[in-house]
Amino acid sequence: MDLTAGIASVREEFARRLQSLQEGDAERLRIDFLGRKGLVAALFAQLGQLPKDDRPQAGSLLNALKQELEEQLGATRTGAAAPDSAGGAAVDVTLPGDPVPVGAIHPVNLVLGQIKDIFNRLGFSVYYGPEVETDFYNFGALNFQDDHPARDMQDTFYTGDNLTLRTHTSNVQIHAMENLKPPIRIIAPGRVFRNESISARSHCQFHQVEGLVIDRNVSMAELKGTLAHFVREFFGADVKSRFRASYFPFTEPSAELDIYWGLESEADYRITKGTGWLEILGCGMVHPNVLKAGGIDPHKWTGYAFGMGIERTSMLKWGVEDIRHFFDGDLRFLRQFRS
Amino acid sequence: MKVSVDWLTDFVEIDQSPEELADMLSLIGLEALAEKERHDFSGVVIGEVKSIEPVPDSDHLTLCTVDTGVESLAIVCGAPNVRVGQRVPVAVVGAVLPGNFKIKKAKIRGAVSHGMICAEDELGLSTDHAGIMVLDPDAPLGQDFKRYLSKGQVGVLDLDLTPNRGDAFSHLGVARDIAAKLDRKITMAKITLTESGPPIDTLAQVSITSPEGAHRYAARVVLGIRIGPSPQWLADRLSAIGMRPINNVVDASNYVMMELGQPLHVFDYDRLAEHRIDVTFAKAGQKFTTLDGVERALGGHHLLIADGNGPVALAGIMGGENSEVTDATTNILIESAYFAPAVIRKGAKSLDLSTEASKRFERDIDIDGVIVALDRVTQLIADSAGGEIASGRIDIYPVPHAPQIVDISTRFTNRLTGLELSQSEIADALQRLSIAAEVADDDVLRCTVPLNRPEIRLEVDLIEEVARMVGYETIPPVMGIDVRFDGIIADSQAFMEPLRRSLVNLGFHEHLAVTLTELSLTRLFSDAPPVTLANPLTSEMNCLRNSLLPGLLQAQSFNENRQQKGIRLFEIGAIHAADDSLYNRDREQFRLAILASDGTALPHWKPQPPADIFFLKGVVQRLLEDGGRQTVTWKAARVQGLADAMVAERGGEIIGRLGVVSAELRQKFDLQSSAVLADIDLQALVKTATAEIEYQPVIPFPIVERDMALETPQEAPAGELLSAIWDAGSKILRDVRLFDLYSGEQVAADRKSLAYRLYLQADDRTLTDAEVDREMEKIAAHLAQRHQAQWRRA
Repeated sequence: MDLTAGIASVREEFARRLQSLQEGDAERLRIDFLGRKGLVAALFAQLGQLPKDDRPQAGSLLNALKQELEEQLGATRTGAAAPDSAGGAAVDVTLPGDPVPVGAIHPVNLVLGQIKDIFNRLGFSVYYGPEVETDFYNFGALNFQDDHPARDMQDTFYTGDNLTLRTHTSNVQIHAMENLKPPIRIIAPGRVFRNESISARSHCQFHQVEGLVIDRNVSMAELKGTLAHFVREFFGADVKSRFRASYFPFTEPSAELDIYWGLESEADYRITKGTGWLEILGCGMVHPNVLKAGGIDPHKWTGYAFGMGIERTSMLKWGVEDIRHFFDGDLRFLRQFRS
Repeated sequence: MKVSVDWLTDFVEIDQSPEELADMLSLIGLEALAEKERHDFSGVVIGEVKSIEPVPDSDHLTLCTVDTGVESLAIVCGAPNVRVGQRVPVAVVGAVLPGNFKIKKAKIRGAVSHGMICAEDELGLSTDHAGIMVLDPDAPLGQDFKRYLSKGQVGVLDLDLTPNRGDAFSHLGVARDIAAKLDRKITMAKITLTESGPPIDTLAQVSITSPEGAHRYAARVVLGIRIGPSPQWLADRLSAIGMRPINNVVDASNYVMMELGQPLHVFDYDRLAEHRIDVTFAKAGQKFTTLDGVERALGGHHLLIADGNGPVALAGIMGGENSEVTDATTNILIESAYFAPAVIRKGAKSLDLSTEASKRFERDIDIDGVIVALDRVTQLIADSAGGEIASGRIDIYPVPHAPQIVDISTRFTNRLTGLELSQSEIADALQRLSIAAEVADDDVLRCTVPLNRPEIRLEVDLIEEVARMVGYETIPPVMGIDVRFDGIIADSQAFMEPLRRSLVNLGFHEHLAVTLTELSLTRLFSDAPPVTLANPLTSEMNCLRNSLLPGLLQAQSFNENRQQKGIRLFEIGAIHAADDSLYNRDREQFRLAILASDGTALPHWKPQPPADIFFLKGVVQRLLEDGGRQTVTWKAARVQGLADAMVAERGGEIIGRLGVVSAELRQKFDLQSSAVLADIDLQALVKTATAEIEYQPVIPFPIVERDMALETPQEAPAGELLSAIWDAGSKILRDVRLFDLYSGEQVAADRKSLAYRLYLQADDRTLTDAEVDREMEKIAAHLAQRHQAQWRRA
């Protein structure tokens, strides 16, 4: 039998069977045509009877046939009708795409990340200290004298074995002085605790970032410049800031930094108490007693330090109305910080 | 503390508005807010109606001539009650009334009106519009009407004082800072007393048994006073700063405390046994009833004022019931003393009793002001309650305080502040604060600090004073980026950031739970003894968490109660233990915990994979394992609080735990859906995150894929079989993946089939079929021999 005629007849037969194909019959069709004892295999078996010179051409014709049948069969198997096939429905591209789940970094860490970035660019390293702390690191070394009202500025939690839950990240100042040699240029983020009842405005825990720079000739001018830069980077280039005299036991002179928030809405009046100015951080020149407590000679070195509350800063940045949202794990809150 | 601007002007000239003054004080460290004006109008003054004529074209309007003390104004008025001689509030041209209503010159029915005589509603004082307001005939002509209404106390500042500024706890103290900042003089009214009574020595004796508690004690006696109401001006000033007037004696002592900062106490002289006073510490356990009627148990650290019989006052904190002034009091002894700050603070704190007096003593008062205050209060009492002042005063002051002598270097001042001040500029700033500065050499000034500023002890304290006076705003902002290589240290938590990112991209939200928790929750997942609090806020927050898992379960419950589903949360945070037992390491350790609740957040038309333990295991593997090779061994384990639990081991150390929340805990936390939990040691993740990348050359030869279905005993762990394949394979085995798990008709009842796909590749050649077959046979033989696993050949 002529191989070419055989190919034509197999192709014709396959097309006929394919047209009337019932669901579930595709496997039968495959076996009949492409199986080990199928019609295509039978044609391949005839190759041997051909003259040697004709075999390559006949072989490629058979391979082409096999591939063609496989492709047509494959199309019926996936069930997706070819777009050009008569009567076949096109893919409904308007079906929703598969959901790709995405979470969010906690706003505290989001803000902290931004703060780290800003200070990293100014050559600050990041350093950490413990949450449970001795009285010495939390108070004594920071020039809080016993029986001084300054201790009342922060209501302290004490543990059963008379340690404190740190009331500020300023404890890291002393650890840094002890463990790192000047020059020191660090920020120290972390969780702090105050024995204050929980409300929309205050919580018994929150997060702070401390800053500490100690070098030969560090001045308030540098403190002011660094923080002014921070304010511009974090709050925007056109935000005004001002330094105001203040008091912290561990800095002298001490200052607080205000930013101009404006007085456009009722809320602005409330949060700035009608002044338009909003305090965002405390700072000052490291007190010589603190340098001494950290083993650093105050005659040789000077330093500045600052500290700010992260929740407070986030609340300002995004207008968060209740500090408790930060610690409830409320997805309706957390979801909004997807980035 | 509140201060009245009007009161401040007794000491210093002030021409700023209360808001400007508050702003200036805030900038120099006395944080102040101007209290909101109660009256929403300006430009209204007191005038007198001089004449009234009818307006020709009107039946009810009149044209009045009103004298405001500075000018005579023609004003049209429609009120029926206007009469000649009345004193009335007049809104002159330029005045602004509530509702931003501006008063202009106006022509009404042909008559020109230069202002308005006001009714109460027009000033926002009430809704009364029956007629114009008619004032007392002695209302001062020309006075600002707001000032008249607030009885002179226009402008009240609310100060939030820092604890170092005890000196500013009075009108005089605030006035001193204003005067210094504005370079103005402080004027003190001269006190004149008529001492017509007998010598005080014949009336009372004072001794100090405990001089470490009382450094100075001064007293005066006034005989024959009459208790009654205070004069109006004094009562008004006290009211303006929020103090309720009581009677002329109590008010006078409060007044002088608010004025000069010196707390005073007045005893009923006749109730002091033997008319003697001694200052001494209490005996431990001693009881004493203070004038608020509370009996208080005292300790040996409480300082007492005692008479011949026993205690009559808690020194510096509160007087006693047994000696307080009553309406029947006629003779008094007035105390003005200096008590040691630490003693008063300790005493007040241990009684949880903070008073206006104790607040001032514990912040330190001006020991030099004791006598001025005593004389001032005596004068006020004598003026308002009459009586005869005993001649002379008692003043026990055994060891006078010496002023601090502190040096200030010009160079250091400029080095620390970044300012460029001359020595004379520094001296000038200090002298404005009454700090005498003498030139010691061309750099150093030797300063004598007055006793009203006892907290100034060091050079840096003086530098702050100088900076306050020249103004923090004059310090130039400088960008001093002077970074040294030796100042740069690695961020030990830097690895957390990509970790967070990974989890966020897997659909997890980061949670931060409260560190403080309740004792029962510390027993659920850990044996580590929790750190307990000596002074907890509530019993639900009496210790520190020793696991992050309860916080995640609480958050799941919180969210489920708010219609959230498919909850996926993680937390990176510190946990604590009272000993070193925390995972055999520290008392404080950072961990990672992950939670995924059953179900999906939102429905979808195609099936989505469930959040089961293999989902979470996959997440943790993703975080713990670098590359394809297993670096972590997973084992079934009993884990507190978890069902179907497993642990991850590396180097023989458990680095993570994972499982399904137990039925018991599901109930305890009131969870609607089940959840899978993982708890991971962050140190293990640091190792993964900081592992060096080890580059291998790309192999150009093809990978051969071969499948191997293995029939094994039902109980044989798949992980062990996988390890066995790796062990048996040679170096051409590149990867192994389990792709099918089957038990049923095709295999025996106690057997299961595990199908693996093996990826084979050589570094240096294309593998031949024979080589691949040999490798497969070798692996199969090993499995058959050691693991009773039969290769089900196709």
